[in-house]
Parts: sequence; C-alpha cells; structure tokens
Amino acid sequence: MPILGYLEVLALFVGMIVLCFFWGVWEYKKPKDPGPLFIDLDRTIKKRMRERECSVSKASVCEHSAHSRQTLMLAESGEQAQNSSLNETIRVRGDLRIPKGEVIPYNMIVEGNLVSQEDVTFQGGLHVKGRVVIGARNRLEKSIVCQKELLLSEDVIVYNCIDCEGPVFIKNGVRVGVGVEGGGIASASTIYLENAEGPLKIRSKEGICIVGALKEVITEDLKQIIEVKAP
Amino acid sequence: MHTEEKVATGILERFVEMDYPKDVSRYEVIAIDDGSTDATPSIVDEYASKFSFIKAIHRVGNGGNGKPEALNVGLKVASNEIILIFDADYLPPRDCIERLVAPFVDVEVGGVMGRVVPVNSPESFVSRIMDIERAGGYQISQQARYNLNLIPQFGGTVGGFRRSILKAVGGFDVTKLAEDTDLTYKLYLNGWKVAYVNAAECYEEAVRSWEMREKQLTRWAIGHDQCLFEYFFKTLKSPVLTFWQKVDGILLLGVYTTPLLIFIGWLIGIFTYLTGAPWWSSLFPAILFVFAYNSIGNFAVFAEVAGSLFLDKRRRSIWLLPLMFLDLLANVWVCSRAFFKAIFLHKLRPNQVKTLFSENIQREGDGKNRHTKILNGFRNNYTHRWDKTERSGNGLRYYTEVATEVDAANHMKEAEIKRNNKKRG
Repeated sequence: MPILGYLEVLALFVGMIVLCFFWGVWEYKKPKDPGPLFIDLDRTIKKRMRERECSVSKASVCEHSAHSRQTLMLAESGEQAQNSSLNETIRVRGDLRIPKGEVIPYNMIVEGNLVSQEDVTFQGGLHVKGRVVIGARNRLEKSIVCQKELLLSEDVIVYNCIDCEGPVFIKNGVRVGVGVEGGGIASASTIYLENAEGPLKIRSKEGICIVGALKEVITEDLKQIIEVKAP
Repeated sequence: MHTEEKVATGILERFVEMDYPKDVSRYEVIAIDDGSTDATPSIVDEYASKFSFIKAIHRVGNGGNGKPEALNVGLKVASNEIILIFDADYLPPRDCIERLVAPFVDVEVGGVMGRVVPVNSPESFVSRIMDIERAGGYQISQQARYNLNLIPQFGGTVGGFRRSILKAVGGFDVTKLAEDTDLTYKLYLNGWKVAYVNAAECYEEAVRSWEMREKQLTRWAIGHDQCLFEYFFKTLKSPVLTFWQKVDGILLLGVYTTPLLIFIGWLIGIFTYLTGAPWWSSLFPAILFVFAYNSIGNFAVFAEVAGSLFLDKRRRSIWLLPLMFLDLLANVWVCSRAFFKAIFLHKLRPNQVKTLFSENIQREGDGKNRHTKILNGFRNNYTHRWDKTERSGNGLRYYTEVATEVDAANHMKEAEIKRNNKKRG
C-alpha cells in the first residue's frame, strides 16, 4: 500500500509538470499568435503629425468659437480633400512676418502674431494664437483659425473658411470659400466689412458692420502690428 | 555586412524608402561590406551607384574580423554627428530614423536604442522563444530602466550615438566581444545618457536553432563578462553615476554571470537534499540564501516577458512561458561555461576568438530578399486564421500586400472554392 501512495504522489507530481507545459506545447503546435509582432513598415511620423494638426485645429475651433459647428464641418471636408499633398506642419514660437511673394508649403501653427506681405501663398492651414494681418493678394489654400483679431487685405482669396475668436476686418475684393467644399467666415465677435461686395457667407455673434474705411475701426493693437516695418 | 547577399537588398531598400530628407549633407547610408565572399559587394555597389546618399565601403583582405572593426572603418568616413547602426538582417520602418535621432535634442543624451522585434518567429521553436524573450527585454526591461533614469543599454544595432563622443573615447574597442555594452559604460561613466525609444521598432532575423543560439549566447556572455571585469570597480567608484545607477549598472554587468550563480545554487540544493545540510552550512546562511534566491528569484524574467506580451496584446503567446524554461536551462549551461572562457580569453587561439566574433547565421534558401520569402512561405504554409490574432495581424499583413499577383490570384481562387464548398455543404 505505501508503494501505491508513492505512485499516487509521483503521478500527481508528473501530472502537474505535464499540465504546466501542456498549454505551451499546444500554442506551439497550433499557434494562434505565432508572430511576428506587427510593425507597419510604411508608417511615417509626418503622416501622424498631419493628422494631429487637423485634430488640433478642430479642437481649437470647438473650444474658441460659439459658431464653430457649421464651420468645423466645412473646414473638415475641405482639409481632408487637399491634405494628401501636404505633409508637414511647422510650429512657430513668437511673431512671424512673411516677406512678399513667398510660398509657404506647410501647415503653420503660430504662437504669436502673423503678418504676411503682398502676394504670399499659403498652401497649408493657418492656426494663429495671436493677431493676423493677411497682406494684399494673398492666397490661402486652406483655412484660417485665429484666436485674436484678423485683418484680410484687398483681393485676398481663402479657399476654405475662417474661424476667428476676435473681430474680423475685411477689405475690398476678399473672397472666402472659393474651394469646391469651401465655407464661410465665423467670428465670436464683430465682423467689419469695408463694403458689402463679394459673395461672403458670414456668421457673427456680435453682428456685422459695414464701414466706409476700416482705418476708423481697426484696433490699436492691430495698427501697431501693421506699422512695424519689415526688416 | 559579412556575406549577407540574402538580406542586403532588404535593408538597403528600406533605407531608400526611409522617410527622412535625402539631402546628402544630412543623410548618408554607409554600407560596409566586411570582406564578403558572395554577391554582397555587387549589391552594395549597385545601390551606391543608384543613390547619392549611399556609400559603399569594401574591406578587402582584412574583412570578417568582427563588427567593432567594421564599425571603426565606417566611423572614419561618416561625416555627420549622429550615427545610427543597423545590422544587415534588419528591416526598419520608414519613421525609424526620425524616431531614433529625436532624443539627441537633449544635450545629455549620448546614445539611443530602439526596439528589436524578430521577424522570423514562426520559423522554429527557438525563434519563437527568442521573439517573446526579446519582447520582455525591450518592452519592459529597457523601458523601465529608461523611465527610472537607470542604465538602459545601447544594444549595438537599431541604435546610435554621437560621433564626437565615440571619437573621444577612441572608437569601438576591437578586443571586446560586446562592443555595445562597452560603449554603454563608456557613455555613462563620462556623464552621458542612453535614451530608449520603444516606438522605434525594427524587425530582425532571430536565431532559429539551438546551435546558433549557443554561439550567440556565448559571444554575448563572454563580451558582457569582459565588461564586468573592466567596469565593475569603475562603476562603483564613478562620481557621475547616482546610487541607483550604480546598483543597476552592477546588476546589468552581472546579467550573464547570474546563470552561473543559479547553476551553483542548483548544485548546492541537490547536494544538501541528498546528504542533508552539512555542519558548515550554518556558517554561511547568507550565501545559501543568495543561492536559494537565485534558484527561484530569477524567474522574474518570466513575469517580465508576460508583462510585455500583455502590453503587445499578444496574450495567447503567454502560454509559451513555461517552455522558456528550456531556454533558461540553456542559458545556465552556456553562460556558466562562457564565464570561464572569459576569464581565460587571452589563452584562446586566434581562430577561436575569430569564431566567437563572427556569428555567421546560416541562412537557408536562395534569392536575394530572404525576409519576403520567409514571410510569404509562412503565409502559404500556416493554416490558422491570422485575422483572429489579438492585434489582428502581424508582419504578414504587410507582406501580403506586396506578394505577387499570381499569389494573390491563387489565394482568391482558393477562397472562392472554399466558399462554394461551404455553400454546397
């Protein structure tokens, strides 16, 4: 009888060892996850940065504008349509002044004020945390998100839309939303128009004001920025 | 690259596809043909003639003496400050270089290390075990060391360093079998840090037989033990390392001597079981405790692997953990033997040392792009459903996309036949 007891203990011991390895052998013989671990060999940082850039501008639109929903949808569709050729975003800390005739092939996040001179082309979207002065005959192939005042000079073309936290000053001949899926202008403050020309879709929380000359209504802060001479 | 015709095309192609500015002043690929005897030199030359950012370096007559020597040659012709190293059998994703150079923004970072993932894990039992072991070593061990500001190790490949530092310390030490560990300690003892970037994943070809594993492990163990002998006291006395960095540094240096302690612990355990505790054992309870701990406590590595597989969402692979015990047994034996080899390294014959230096993974099959063939082979041979895996896929998904049209057509036909049979059934 003691021998039987020993055998039982031995069988239990062996059984536990077999049980321990059983699952491993099973997975090895009939693998459900044989590997290798998936790595997307084609992934790039730039692609993800671009996606993040889109989400950043959308988030800021939601956060800063009371009229953002409609604009957001317009901006979203427009950016998705054009972003395939644009894959870099640059973030600028401080004020930025863009010289005449420059072509900017990036999405830009400016954490200061932005002033562009004449005939500048922005191929990417703009997100400016300070004040913005867009020079005459500039072309913006995407949208502008601005958290303070925005001035659009003569004959500026914006393909998609504009979402602005502060007042917007629009001069003669400005066209917004000329892209296939273009939108309009939304502001959480007042929108000032030098005259009522142009097919503009506008929504403003504090109303739309048509003035004879913008010089009379432009804020002092914005005037200071405009008056700074280019180096 | 030493006789790497089967994989050379694969890695060079990856560097051509790399998502990094191909401006020659910022990006140069130095392909070192280390005395190859096959078609590697012509492959390298072909790429160098096609792409201005690829330089081909041929070591003629003096090649094949090991990686450190080849790297020192490359170091002489490299013109940029940040130098990254990849072995020939590696397949980096397109963003790998951007991820690896990013930590150098920190002026304290002297080296960087990415994550290595075996591409051929389904190939054999050993390669599967290597796959899960690597996961634990990188995902948990290296990451924890980096997060806790300890000593993450520069692993010699999928990693890089500042050229100026390496020049200052005299390049790679060609007498060391683990030039990567040597460089790690040189960096830390000179006040630099090594950054670990888990997201900089890169495929490698792991060993697939016990013979190859033994050779690889012997080389690593001897190299580590060489560093242990050289840097043990330097690490303890270092004025620049913190207390915990010193503790971690010593543990890292001893990582390949621990199996010897386990072995001794097992021997003592068996001895005391058979003979009863000898009278002198009471004199050394602390030592017995250490050995007993080593016999059991080192199972922590299993927990490390399980944790990493959990994070990778490959929970089914956790079932393989008990089988890692076989690898532990191999480690104990090979590393214990390697410890004594390291002590008497200077007494080894030159050809024995050279054998240790060169790993010479025997790559079966023909064709120039072996990785693609391996993965396509698995796709055809395995009958389980890949889409049922936790991460719903693996490397195969990528390679399925680049499979030939004939393969794709056959696959479609098979699927259609199966569907029809199912309908009829």
